[in-house]
Amino acid sequence: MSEKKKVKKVEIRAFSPGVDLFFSIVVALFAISCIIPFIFVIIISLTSEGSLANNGYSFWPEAWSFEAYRYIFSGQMSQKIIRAFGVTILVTVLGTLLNSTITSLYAYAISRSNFPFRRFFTIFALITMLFVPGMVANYLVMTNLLQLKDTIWALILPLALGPFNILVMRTFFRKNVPDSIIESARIDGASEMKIFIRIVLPLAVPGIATISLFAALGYWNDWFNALLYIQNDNLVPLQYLLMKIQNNLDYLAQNAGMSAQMAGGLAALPNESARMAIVVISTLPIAITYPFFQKYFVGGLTIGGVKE
Amino acid sequence: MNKFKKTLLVAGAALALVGLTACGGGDKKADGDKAGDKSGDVTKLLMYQIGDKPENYDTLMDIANKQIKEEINAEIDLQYIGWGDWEKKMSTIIASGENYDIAFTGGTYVTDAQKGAYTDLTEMAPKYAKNAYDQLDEAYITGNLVDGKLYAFPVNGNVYGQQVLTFNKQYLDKYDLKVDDIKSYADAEDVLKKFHEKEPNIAAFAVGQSFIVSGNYDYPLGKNSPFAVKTDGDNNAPKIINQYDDEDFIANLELMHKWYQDGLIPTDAATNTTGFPLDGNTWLMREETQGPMDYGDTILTNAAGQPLVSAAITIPLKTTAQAQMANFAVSNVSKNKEKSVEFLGLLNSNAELLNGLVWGVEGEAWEKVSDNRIKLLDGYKPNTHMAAWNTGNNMILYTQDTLPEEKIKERDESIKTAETSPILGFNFNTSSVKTELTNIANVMNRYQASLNTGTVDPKNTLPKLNDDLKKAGWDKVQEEMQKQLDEFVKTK
Repeated sequence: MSEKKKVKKVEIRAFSPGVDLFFSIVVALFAISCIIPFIFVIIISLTSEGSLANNGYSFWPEAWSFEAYRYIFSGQMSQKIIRAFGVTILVTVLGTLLNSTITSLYAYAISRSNFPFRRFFTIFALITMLFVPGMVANYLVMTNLLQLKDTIWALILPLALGPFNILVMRTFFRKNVPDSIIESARIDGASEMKIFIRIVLPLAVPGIATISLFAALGYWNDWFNALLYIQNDNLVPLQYLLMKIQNNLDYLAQNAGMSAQMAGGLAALPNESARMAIVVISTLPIAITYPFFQKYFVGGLTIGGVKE
Repeated sequence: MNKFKKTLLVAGAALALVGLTACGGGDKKADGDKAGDKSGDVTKLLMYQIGDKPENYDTLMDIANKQIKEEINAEIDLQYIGWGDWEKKMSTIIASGENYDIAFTGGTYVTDAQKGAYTDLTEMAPKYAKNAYDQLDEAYITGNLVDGKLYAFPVNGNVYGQQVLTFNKQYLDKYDLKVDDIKSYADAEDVLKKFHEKEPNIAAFAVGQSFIVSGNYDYPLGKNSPFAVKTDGDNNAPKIINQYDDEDFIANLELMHKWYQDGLIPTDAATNTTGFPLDGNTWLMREETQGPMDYGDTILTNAAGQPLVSAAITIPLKTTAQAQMANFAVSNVSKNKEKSVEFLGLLNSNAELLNGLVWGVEGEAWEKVSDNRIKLLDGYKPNTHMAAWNTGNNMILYTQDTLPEEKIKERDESIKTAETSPILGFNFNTSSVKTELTNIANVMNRYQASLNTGTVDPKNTLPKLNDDLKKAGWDKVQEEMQKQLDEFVKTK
């Protein structure tokens, strides 16, 4: 019979050191693989075009240059880029406010067990999640029914309410706003609106922060609506501008051999490092806002309002 | 904090209200259904064009619209859709039945025409745009017939195309290289080798992922598809072959592989999608397509901003692809079909109007030196005029005074003598072999770039490719295509 090992310490909330190390390495590798491409983009945007042409991409280019950023802020496209940046910010701010407002209102209503049409409106939202009408139907509604072609609303409204966010918020209200609180507020004589604003919303801040972030990301990165509905140069958002440049390059590079006269189109497009600089400019702001939402994510979704 | 949240909410709610009312009202400027409104008897035509808007778009259009109003009492609202967005956006517009009048057709001309997206112009074009229609080369009409009907008004431009090898003249001069005798890829080897010894870091033959070896073939489904007809064969009984099974083509693939091994082709050719800038000095030789309206290397040299010299490696050929290069179709939902055709006729026959768009503003970008010759001024800059190839009739464009008279004569001669492809105007109906074509396209995606850029050895790879093509159903498609082609030849 072998002797039993003495147990020195029991730690139920931890893996053994070896496993711990293994998982740390896995997560670290994953984190690095996420961040490296973006750092690389920043490096390319700071590389001089000459060394790009000669040596291709490298992590330590032989010649650094701020030319790309100079191009963005004072080059031939600078006005377009700065304008597009403004459009993107406007759309993101307006859209996020609108999205979180409508979503919270809708979700709160269907989260209340004494709301008679609760089931109908839940299913109503769910159906749009399950059956997607397709692009042409959307296009017809936006252009013919609502006449929103070439307006800022064409960028805001399509993303203003999503069933996924509604479901997230509904669950959140269910979990975090017990009926007893609402009951007691009602007994004290508060109206529905007052209950919602004074009692429910403060309890729901983490949830609202979460869906606001989803919405803000969605608006910031959206270019497809712009492709469909925007013709006016003054309403082009930044991501679409970038998309356009990339699409044009791809198309012209593919068809360059078709006709000598097409080659002229390529000359008007920004070069490699300038394109990367636009990527940096369009990604950084949204990446910077992440930490501000961070604190609501960590544990935020599981804290309750009262102990029952 | 609480107060702040309340304010936010109220603001949000107010916004939502504004949003809702804005939806209901609709914007007065929304032009979707304004196309064709008769405001004071002037017809407004909505027209979609591919590419980038010129910087002085407003000035150009003001001048043009004055003339158009005078001539046919119409105004053009010209909307640009970017190169890369074109296919997506235009297909949405067509699918949704949105109202527009005229559009560039891009590469989807035949399918859209078959869908019924465009107006049949077979009778309308000669009637409402007679003058312009009569100037069109016969190949344009034949090449654009879909099921026997004409659905587009083509831009009279490069009616034939020919593949050329284009050289960067600065290097030719520097290293004293001669390219006059080059008539095929093989002839260029000597020059490339000499150059590569001197400049090992510059691409001798600049090819990228989209490069496909050329030869005297015409392709019913485009260059990316393994179906071809030999144009130096029997034109009365064209046979559909697989170019990757044809000895001339294979010889060229083997040559590419040899060049690749010798370092004459960049090592990353099979994956390079960025291309080599025309105006750069990172290359010595590239392949281009030229037609009569390029006046030899004149247009190419202008685009590059540096002297280039070309040597032809295929015969000049009038093909369906050239005929459909730049088409304008009239939408089937347009309320002003006659006016639209009238406008296309005007654009393609009125020299003053067309030159004001293609060369830019008269007196600022150019001035006349004789009836149809002009001198460019300092105001002639890139992005301040439209492109010649996809705007209107190239035959009525003024030519620069620097262009020698004989070049214009050469142009007219070359159009007369150019060969016509045996399959000009043949549109393959793919409906019965859609699955096979998808499979074949997948096979081609795997092999095409590496074979054509010489990255892999054709000796080992070609048998594999042809084997995979057989498995994908190449024979069935060939049979169907040959059947349709024989029908087509009979009824020609």
